[in-house]
Amino acid sequence: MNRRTRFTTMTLVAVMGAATFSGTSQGANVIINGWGRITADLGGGALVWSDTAPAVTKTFTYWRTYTGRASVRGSRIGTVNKPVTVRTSAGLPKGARVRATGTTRGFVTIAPGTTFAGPVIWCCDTSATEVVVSSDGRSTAPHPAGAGLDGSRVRWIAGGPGGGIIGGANPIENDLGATSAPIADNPRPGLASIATGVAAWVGADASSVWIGVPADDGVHDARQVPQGGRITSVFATPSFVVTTVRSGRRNKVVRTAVVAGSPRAVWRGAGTPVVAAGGNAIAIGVGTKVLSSRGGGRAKVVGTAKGTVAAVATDGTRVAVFERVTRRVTVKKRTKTVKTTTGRIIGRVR
Amino acid sequence: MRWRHVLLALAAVGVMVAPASGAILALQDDRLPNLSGTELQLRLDLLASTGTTVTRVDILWGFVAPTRPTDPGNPGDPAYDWARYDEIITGLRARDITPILDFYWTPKWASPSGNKSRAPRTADAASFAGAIARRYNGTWPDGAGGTLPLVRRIEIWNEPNIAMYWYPQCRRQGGRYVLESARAYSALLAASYAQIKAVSPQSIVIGGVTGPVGDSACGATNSSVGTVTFLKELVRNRVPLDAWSMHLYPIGSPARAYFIPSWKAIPQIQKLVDKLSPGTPIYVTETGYHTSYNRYHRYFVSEAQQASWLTQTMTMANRYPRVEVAMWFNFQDNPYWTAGLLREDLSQKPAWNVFRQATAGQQRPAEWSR
Repeated sequence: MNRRTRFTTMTLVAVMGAATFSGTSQGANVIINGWGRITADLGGGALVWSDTAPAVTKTFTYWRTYTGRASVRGSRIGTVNKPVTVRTSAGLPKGARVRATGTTRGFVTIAPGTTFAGPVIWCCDTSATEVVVSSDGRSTAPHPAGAGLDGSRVRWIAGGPGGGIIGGANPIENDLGATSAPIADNPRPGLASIATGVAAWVGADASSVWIGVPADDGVHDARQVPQGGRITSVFATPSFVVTTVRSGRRNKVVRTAVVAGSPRAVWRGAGTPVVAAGGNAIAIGVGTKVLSSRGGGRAKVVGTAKGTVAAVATDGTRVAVFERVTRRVTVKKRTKTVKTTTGRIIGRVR
Repeated sequence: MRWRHVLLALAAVGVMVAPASGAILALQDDRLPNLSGTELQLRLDLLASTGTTVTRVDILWGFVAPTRPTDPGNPGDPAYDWARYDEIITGLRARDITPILDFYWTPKWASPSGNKSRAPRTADAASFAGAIARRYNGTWPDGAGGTLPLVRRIEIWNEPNIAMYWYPQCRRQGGRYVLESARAYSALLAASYAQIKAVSPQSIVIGGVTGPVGDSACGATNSSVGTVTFLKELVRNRVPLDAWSMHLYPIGSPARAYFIPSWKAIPQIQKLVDKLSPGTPIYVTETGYHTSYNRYHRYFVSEAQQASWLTQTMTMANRYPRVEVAMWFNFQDNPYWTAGLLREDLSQKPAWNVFRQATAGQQRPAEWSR
């Protein structure tokens, strides 16, 4: 009966009239203002993405992470809707991640920072409103490093001074009684991922990835799989785990089968790749190139982006890209160049 | 003799340059109406231990009057159940804490749609305002041979510019949408003012109580109306009030945030309020900073920032002499509101100590003792 249990979500949205959500759909594209940090996923007929940037209108007072979603039919992207917005002045947000849940255009997103834990959010309940699964403001709170849907349960892996934990809750069935159990090692910021039946994270040994089966009481059958270099990102699917690995001046994208545990490089090069996976495929973005790898085969070029690739996503069939471009815009007879990030379906998995 | 003159002159100068006592830092605990008996007394002790000398109590109209009273202006009407509020107000008085009362939550019988956030019929709500003032005008029997305490400050509604508390905000007229809430609220404020003053002339009627919404125009999907837009309509309707109240939840530090409404917007608000009555005091009856994300407030800061910005909040409040009170909302976190001085498990955030230190050095002006 506390008054604020009845408070509207509208209040702050209205307060922030000067900094409205920037994701809009324009034909087959999603248009996002600026060149923020993007992560994306494609699944359940929806493209979801998170976009982190400083919110600058008059003077800087806070950071914001938007999470948006849009339906995808063929290569067309529908209307952008129901963004989740996390705003903070607590510090630099780093490592926001979003995963499509594969149903009703849902997603799980985290928005941690360098100095704060940040929330774990599931979208959305029957009133189309996000559900905050975990949000801890204590300075000692574990920082979520990755999250996703494991069956019907939202799970997240977090690291902190007390060691690593796996958390879980079931907002889908309106059960927010969260579980928390210790896991081996202490996950590095941003280096964890959850998929149905799979938890993956990187701990003290930056060149190995932990892979196991997530549960309420911990991660079962966890084992470390060497990746041959410093791991810079992790993405789990129900059947394999993808890592990006830096070794000397070279980078590679490694696919590790969950059951066999055998790592295999599907791409090598000098550029720094961004990756995502879905179905039996991996999407890779390097510079302006977009590639895909199916079934562990060598990555093949899907297309060339119009700008530097900020993020990629795939559902195993299609490949989506978020590319950083500039546009000339004329407002009141004054023409200026504006930075935008465009999301679109660039092609099919090869 | 000359020295006496000099001393008197110095004293006079001293009076002239002495700083005003500044805004009162106060604290609201929204759990109070949920408690009674020993639980309530312990909770009031905890609230008093923060050093707050002023607080705010939400009177939920629908709880006090679940059925329509026959004589709505009479607080003794059998349809009214004031038990929980009598206990709270008596408990606050025993601890020398001055309450500001606000009321909202339209009962089904007073709501044209049965919804509690539906704008009430003016006459019904104004009669209830009168009943509150009469019950707490210092003369109403407490049933034990004494009288209930005097409460002078009554806020008319809570955040009537937000659809969650006042619906509808806008309505279609011809081919366009026009502001409805401020027009209807103006009528309520004027009627409540008359009812309250009739039974308790010493009462201070506080109007506005606007939620933290920036400027906005009416549209098909409007769920809220900007503070300035709302106030302008009240000015146009020449509403009577003794103090203007608003809620500030700045995005950014108190000193840097520039969105309307924020502390920096106070001069703009004052100018408008002056058109109603020059020099009208400003009450900020809700302010605060959340320390973690929640779906009802999507902006948060760290616990250390919250503590530091509590201090800065008072600096900003004291920058504007007409701001008489800055009410921190809330006392304790709940899953939907994390701006408390206490976490949900009752452990103290760093802001707890900052609040206590601030209130320790604070003098409540005499006119605020009731």
